Amino acid sequence: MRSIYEKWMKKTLEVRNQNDIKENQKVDQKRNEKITIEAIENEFRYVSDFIKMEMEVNDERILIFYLESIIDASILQRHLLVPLHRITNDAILEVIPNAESIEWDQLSSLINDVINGNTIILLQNSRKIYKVDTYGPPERAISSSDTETNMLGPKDAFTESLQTNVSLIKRRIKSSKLKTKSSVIGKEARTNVSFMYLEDIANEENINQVEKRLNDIEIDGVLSTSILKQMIEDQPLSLFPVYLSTEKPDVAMSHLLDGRIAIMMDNSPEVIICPTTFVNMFNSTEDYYARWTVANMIRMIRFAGFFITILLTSTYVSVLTFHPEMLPPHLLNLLSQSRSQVPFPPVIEVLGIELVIEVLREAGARMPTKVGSTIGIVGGIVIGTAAVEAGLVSNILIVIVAVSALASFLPSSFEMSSAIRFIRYFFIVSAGFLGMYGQFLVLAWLLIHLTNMTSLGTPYFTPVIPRKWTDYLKDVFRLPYFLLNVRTGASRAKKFLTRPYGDD
Amino acid sequence: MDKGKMEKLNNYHVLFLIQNVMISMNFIRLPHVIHESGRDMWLIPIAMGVIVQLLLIPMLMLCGRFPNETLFSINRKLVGKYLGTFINLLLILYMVISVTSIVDDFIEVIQTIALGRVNKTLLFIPLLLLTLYILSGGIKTVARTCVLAFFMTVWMIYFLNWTFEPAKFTSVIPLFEVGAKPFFHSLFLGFESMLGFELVLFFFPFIINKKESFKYVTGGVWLTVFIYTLVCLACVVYFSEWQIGNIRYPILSILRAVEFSFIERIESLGLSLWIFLILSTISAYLWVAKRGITDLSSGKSQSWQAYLVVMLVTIIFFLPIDRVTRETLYEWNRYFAFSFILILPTFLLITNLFRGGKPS
Repeated sequence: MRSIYEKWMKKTLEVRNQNDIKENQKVDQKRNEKITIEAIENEFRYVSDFIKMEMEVNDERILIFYLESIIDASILQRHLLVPLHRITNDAILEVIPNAESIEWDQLSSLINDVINGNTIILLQNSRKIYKVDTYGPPERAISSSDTETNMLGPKDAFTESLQTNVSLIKRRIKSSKLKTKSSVIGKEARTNVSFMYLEDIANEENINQVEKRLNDIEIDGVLSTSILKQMIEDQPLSLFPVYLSTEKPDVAMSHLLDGRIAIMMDNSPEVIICPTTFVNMFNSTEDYYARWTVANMIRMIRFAGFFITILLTSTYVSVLTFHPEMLPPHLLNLLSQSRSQVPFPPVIEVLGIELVIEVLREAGARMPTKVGSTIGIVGGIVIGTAAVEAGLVSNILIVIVAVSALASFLPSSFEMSSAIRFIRYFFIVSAGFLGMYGQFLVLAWLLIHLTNMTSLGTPYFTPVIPRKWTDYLKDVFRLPYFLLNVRTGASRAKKFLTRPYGDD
Repeated sequence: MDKGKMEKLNNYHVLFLIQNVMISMNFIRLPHVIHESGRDMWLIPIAMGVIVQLLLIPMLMLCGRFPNETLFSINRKLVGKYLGTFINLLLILYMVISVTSIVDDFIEVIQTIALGRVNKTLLFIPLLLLTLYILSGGIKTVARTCVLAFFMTVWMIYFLNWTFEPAKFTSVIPLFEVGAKPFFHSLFLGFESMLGFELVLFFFPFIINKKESFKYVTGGVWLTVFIYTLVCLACVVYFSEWQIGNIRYPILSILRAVEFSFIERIESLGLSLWIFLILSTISAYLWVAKRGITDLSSGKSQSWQAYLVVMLVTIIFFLPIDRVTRETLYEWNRYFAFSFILILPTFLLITNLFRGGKPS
């Protein structure tokens, strides 16, 4: 399938590709051109926020270039313009110590610097060029996350600034072993991407793999880590998210301490954690903040919720369509009474209601907050009461669909809950055609698919595919804290124990 | 992780591969098939276990002498290129027909018990597509399917509770009241439900820990024997002799006895769960058939080989022949299996010894 598509792409896009390659060569030729004022002005023609300042201090003609929109005006004023007036001859480093010198034949790197928020100082008489980092675009303040909320624990969340995000991690893990490797992704957008790991814990293979995959990306621009994530997946065709995205620094911290890698990107408040396992998508750090008894109960409910949400509505379909003998007479009576008015076969009835729930959810998510709550009430009344009274659906189905819709939101990862909701339709349709046989075929496919998946080379379905038996005590159950002293098998950390055994 | 490595199967993979390849459709009928042995029925699985154990010895000795080769290449090496290829073709055909017979049987039971209105083709195609999906993952996925199948179905043993509850266990004391001939006859008839362990000849080179493999293969066999014995015991105490002689699918009848307040008559559920056992068996057999075609063609595993074996199954499944001919075909296939597992490993082992081959 994929190879056919690639062949087709190659055939149809070959001519355009050749043109692009020629264009790129033109750009490459520019790399080592001489810097002239005309060349710079030419490059930034029609860039309205490009500022060129001229001033004359002590017989020195100074030209200053910067992009107004991404520099911090107060830095420019305090650390650049004011000191520049004190300049004597060409000793610029005396007044602006953080200025860096640039060679005259590095036009493309100069342009790059301007784009990245540097201010360029060009001394015309003494023929020297300096750059000063004045980057300071407007940023959102650190606030709590809207998508990942918790009762206990820290409330701060990542923002769209890479620097802020790195600092949020660095102030949690104060260690020189916490390494940050950076690169730039996107030929046009040139976005900064960093990945962090603890050098003495994280697995070398994983680090190399992440670095390789990030370097292999060739694209014009990446909007968000959610897209970046899809580019470095092991199985891009899979239904499930293979890496965890989180907005919360404490989640990222817990995974870093476990020996995993966090990838972050400018302009994106989500951090990718890799490798991740299936159960990680269900767990939240709040399980560790809560008492272990409660946490265990919540976890069991979440895992049960997974099976309830994929099997409950489809079982309704298969039982009513093919296996009514499975129900005890009392229950069957109840169901058939509630369905007596309904003109559709069960599968259409269920699909209709499931789609309505999906529409309600999507509408609620897209609507302005003030209208959103109204939609909930309207949907609840119209579907909950009116549809049943009109005899379009049975009221037992409403209960079942509501339970399975609620259960689908139990996983802590939003992407996982979307994936589960999607899979549910496979179950419903196959139950409509093949009853329980169909349901279990899809279940078998689902489980085999999960066991086949890998996240950064580690089996995705990990505690089910055994790595370390202690994974069950940490990922599936949650032992009281004094017993939890291991890292998970999925991260393949260099150090397995978080602290030594015994009394010493 | 283990891409590119030949050895992929851990110890527990070996155990569950053996165990779940053995359990398939035949198990559903087992107590009925061996009903001639009367109340001593539950001894038959144990006897079969002993026979399998004995048969395993030459098999694993042969495998131990060629640790990096499947039976297909061993065949060609030991009995010559042409005869070896001929035997390999027969083996591939055996695998394919076995799969067809299992699928045929399963779909028939599904149609009888659960989905009377549904077309045979509609039941067949998704099952085979799923098998194709498993085959694309190689032997490790097959092994993982087996592990899954075990844990998805083993809890059904709990349902035997309903049969043991009213039982009087005095009736299981072996009295040998039927005599030797019916006993051995039902041993012969029932032995088909032990088939599957012979696949170790083909996946042996993929086992990581070859030295200890005998232990785990044995474990798998005896786990099966344990489950069979338990079910046979349940049948002895639950059914009358007439019932066992006349109920075609005793296990489904046992499931029918189960009753909860919110659900009853769970044989549809049980039968649907059986998909896991069927999948594990047919994917393992088809993997071997695919391996055989790989061996015949280029020695390189390619996806068309999987399509080919699935195609073969489909052709045999939809072959326009009547029920009786079909049953005869499956029966001859079974006899081929018996003779193959009895004769071939021993014969090859003796040939190897005779030629002075050394364990490599």
